[in-house]
Amino acid sequence: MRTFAALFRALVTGYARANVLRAIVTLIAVALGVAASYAIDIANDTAVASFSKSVDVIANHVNLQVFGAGRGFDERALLRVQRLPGVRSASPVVEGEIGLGVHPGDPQSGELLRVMGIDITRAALPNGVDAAQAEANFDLHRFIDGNGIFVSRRIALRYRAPAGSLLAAYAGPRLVHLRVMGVIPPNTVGVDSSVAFVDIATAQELFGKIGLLDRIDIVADPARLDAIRAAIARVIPAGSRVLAPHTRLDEIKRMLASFQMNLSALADVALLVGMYLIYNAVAISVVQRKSEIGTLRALGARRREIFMTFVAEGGLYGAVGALLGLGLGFVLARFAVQAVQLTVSTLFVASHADGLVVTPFATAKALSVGIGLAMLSAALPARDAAATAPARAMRTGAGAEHRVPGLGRASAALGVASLVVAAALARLPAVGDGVPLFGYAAGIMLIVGASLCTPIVLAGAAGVVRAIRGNASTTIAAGFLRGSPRRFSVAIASLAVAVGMMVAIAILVGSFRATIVAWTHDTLGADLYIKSPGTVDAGFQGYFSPGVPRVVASVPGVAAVDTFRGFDVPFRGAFAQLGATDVRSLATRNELRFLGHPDVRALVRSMYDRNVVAVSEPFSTRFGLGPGDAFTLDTPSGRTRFRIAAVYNDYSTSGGTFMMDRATFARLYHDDTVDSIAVYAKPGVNLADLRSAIVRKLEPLRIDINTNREIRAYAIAIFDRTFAITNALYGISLTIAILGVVSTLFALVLERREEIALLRYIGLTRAGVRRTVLVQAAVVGVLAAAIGIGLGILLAADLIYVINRQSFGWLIEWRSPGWFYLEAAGMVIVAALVAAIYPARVASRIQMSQVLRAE
Amino acid sequence: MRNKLAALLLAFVTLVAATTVRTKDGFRLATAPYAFSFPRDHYAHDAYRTEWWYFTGHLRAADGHRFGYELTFFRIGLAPHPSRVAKGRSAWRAAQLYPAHFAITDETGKRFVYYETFARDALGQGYASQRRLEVRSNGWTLTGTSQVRPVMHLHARSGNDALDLVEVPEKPPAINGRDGISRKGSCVGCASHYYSFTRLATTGALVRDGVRYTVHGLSWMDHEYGSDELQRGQVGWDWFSIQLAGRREIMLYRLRQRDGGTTPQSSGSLVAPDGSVRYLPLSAFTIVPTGTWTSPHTHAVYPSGWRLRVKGVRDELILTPALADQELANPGGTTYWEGAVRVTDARTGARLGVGYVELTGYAGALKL
Repeated sequence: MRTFAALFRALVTGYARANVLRAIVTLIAVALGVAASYAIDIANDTAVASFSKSVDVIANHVNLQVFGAGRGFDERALLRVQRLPGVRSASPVVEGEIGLGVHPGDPQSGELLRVMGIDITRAALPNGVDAAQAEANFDLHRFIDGNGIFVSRRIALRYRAPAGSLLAAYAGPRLVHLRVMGVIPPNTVGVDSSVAFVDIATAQELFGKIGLLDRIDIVADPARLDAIRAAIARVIPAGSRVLAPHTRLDEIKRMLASFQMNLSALADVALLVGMYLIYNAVAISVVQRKSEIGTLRALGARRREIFMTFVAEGGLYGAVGALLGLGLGFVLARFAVQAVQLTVSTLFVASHADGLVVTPFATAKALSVGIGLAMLSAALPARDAAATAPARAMRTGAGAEHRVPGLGRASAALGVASLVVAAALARLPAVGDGVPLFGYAAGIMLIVGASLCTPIVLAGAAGVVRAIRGNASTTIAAGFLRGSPRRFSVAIASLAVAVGMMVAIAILVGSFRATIVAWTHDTLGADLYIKSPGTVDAGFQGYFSPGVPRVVASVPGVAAVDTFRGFDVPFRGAFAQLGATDVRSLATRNELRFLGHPDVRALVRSMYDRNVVAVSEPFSTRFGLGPGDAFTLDTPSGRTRFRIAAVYNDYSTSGGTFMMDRATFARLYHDDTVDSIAVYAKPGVNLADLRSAIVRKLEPLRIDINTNREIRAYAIAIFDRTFAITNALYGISLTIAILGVVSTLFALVLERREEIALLRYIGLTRAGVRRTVLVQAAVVGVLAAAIGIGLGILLAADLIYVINRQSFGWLIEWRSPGWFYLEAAGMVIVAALVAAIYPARVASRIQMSQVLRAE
Repeated sequence: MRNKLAALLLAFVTLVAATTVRTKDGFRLATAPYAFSFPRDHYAHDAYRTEWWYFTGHLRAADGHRFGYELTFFRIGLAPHPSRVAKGRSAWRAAQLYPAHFAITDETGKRFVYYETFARDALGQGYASQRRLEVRSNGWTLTGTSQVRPVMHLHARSGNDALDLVEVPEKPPAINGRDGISRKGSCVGCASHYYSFTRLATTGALVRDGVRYTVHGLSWMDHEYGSDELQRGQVGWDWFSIQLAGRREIMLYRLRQRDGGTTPQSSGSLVAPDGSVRYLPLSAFTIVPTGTWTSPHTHAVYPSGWRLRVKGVRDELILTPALADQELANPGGTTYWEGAVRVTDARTGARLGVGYVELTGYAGALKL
């Protein structure tokens, strides 16, 4: 051990001190990689935690929950449940959302609060209410009869709503004023800040759920839980479920999983690219101290000790970089959380991140992966160091790399093999519920394959450079390139991987966006769309009574109206969206893009008031169900069998939708409410006038009413918001790769000090030296761009046709962003040249005298 | 001059207070004079904020097994008028809440179990009739015939424990306090209308931990109603009911103040074998605790065991809890100690009767 410490001091510590700048570059790169990965982990954990809280707000000891199959269930079920032996308490819950800070007409305004209607007089109170009640001078009567509400401190501050004040909010289309009875202290266990509590009576009235409950929270005798559960199942309405409290949360978590996995995969690429820099840093230090190593070997240092010393150097970079990365990641996480939260709130459920959730697991992962990968990256150069023969290394000017004949061809053969494996993997199906494991594996194989093919491409390129006549710089540069194939290959490969990721994501996002634009264009055929203010999408709360579309239809200038109603239902251990619309409108105003061009009239006939549905493409892919297949579902009318008549294109949900006729829905679900209304204007009607006529006619209801152009813009805005974070992530990968170029060129310059000095001695000008370095950089840039774009196209194919298909089931039409290839290539080459400026300057200042002194 | 002004002011305040017989939110205050009218006053009085029907008793099974029990129905008015019923209004809009407490002291098995239930006046979960003797809180019920001395039926069931009892009054209702009010403080309305059935012949069934016992015994019922009874500075009360072998009964309550003193309006009743009631002012009795018990559940320290002297009763009485732990630590309600006690002669140790003691405000001040 003492020898090791001595060796480490001799070979690493002193050296790092002497090369502070490069050590810093390496550390920054590692820190960035670790930070990106750590930030995404924190963001994911935070999203899940705040989300869990908002779903899981329940009193202590609840061990069973009853959920209905449709829009609530008959409240009298509570009486039957609480009478059962072994049921210690049964607390009714009515849930809904209210919009705060909403400006009707602006679909992007406001914030949603998740409102839990509870019976506060019961024994089992949610923790947050207990806390708020204890704090305030609480008046039970005003809470029950005066529309009282408990809000979080964040909400009270943000909307200037202290205890005692009135809070204006939108419950669907109605503006209501709620009396703030108390403020829930922050950090109350189990309560997210976007959760509020009202009395169950208030909730039933706010959300139009008179006589209905959404949930019953039950404390049952734990010793007889199974028997009690079975007894409860017998007395609750048809289609309802009795679940252990976390079942539903787990289902929703699964819904989030693939979204989060994609983010993690992106972040981990940044980490991997960062690791290349460690390889490089250790490689440089090995090369620069070949002679010292040789001396030490001659003095009796064993191979293993030398190996361990350099692995430890890598570990040190990893450890320091990872520590810095943790700090930086924590800072980045604030932004990542916002982005992730926004997506979660938009796509899944209203929740708010009240603080970062930093799990020990995420921290341990970031540290151990950072350090572990760093040591692994250092292992290769460390092996080189250990392999150093004492005698050979002591010779001066022992070239950086000893050339291995046939290395390029062997590696290219392996590379091609990897690409073939990737192609094979891409054909394998998803694992479990839409986890495209083999798709990711194919992606990794593509990256490996492209990296392995780099040396042979580099050799070819060096040949080309050398063939450029009459310029000493290019000839010398070509020599350098051929002299250090491995280091250059790694630099090019890592830059190419970053470029590839960037290109792949650009293609994916561009194609996806174009697909969505085309889809909204084809399917949003109505002139105006109406929904409740403050709701995301359609709201899914059934806020409009059936009278509302009738009123809209009666407005002069309206040719026809379509209605939509939908919500998530548990389906095969996950969730799927149920949609209901008047299918007869499909025959005349086709709002769905069916696959396989079925006879729409026959389709409408088969679906009208029958248990026959059309399913979205993601639904079909996800559950493996297509036309002619059937599935069963628990509805408020009992277990019901549905036949699938057709599949249609849809990008609005990743979980998949099945669409039934409105009459079928009303019959099975006893629900005639509406979420959104599409309005078709008579020809020649001025839409602005029609819009205000409808708004006036529906008063005092407040609505969001938008033209289809506005809706399309809104859909695209949501899309762009969702992908904002991916842009940030590939930006980080690219930055790290550019740092890699700086680091490589430095390494080359330092390795070749003697040669450069010699070249200077025999007449190469400073400018010539600079040019030599710049030519190398240009070659690195050009090759990285070429390989990266090729890799990017392959990765994009993998993302679009394998990963996306398997995890979301969306069909994305390929769009090649032609101009972007040029832009990316130009950007990489310029970046490589910029990265070369400083190393070139250093190279040009190498003095013969210094080098000779070293000799 | 100043004195005159103060006197004038005082007179004015008294005048205003005397004419105010309602709370700010419209509930009636218990004020004198009040003439009870039975059977009407056995039923609910929604005009007052707070009301309870409080049953305690001592039961014995055929096999000699001894039990104490408590079954209490509360009514808490949120508003003095019934909630408006209209289309689009939730059935859960309630003007009345009906919590209820149920406890069994298994004296032979040395176990104490208790339950609580909450019901609001919604979906028929909680209910108290103003026209007949019928009170319900979820599945627990009190019903009775419409007589001055009603035959009452009690039912409660929770977990593996249940009560099913018929209660027959052996004496007419004993009216506590004076002029129809039982004072809890000096202020106007700091009082309740309060009467007791001090001797109820009890028969029926009791289920304890799944085992059913046919039981008979003696019970006590308090029916009390009022609004905003407690006064500032009061933290709780000690209440005693004693049924002596000679068909005499004693009721005493002592209101405790934050400063450690006793509210002077604390009082009691002594019921003679013929049912006639003698009012006992605070000066007519002494209560001396003889020990304490610290609750392992709430860490509250309660007195445990008393020496009692009551004017008109020759013997000094010793009250000994049947079980030390008869605390109801209700997660959603008030924590208090309500327990069966044995009553013996301080001099001879001879058994003189049975009783129940209620101790409130030891685990945090009481809010009513």
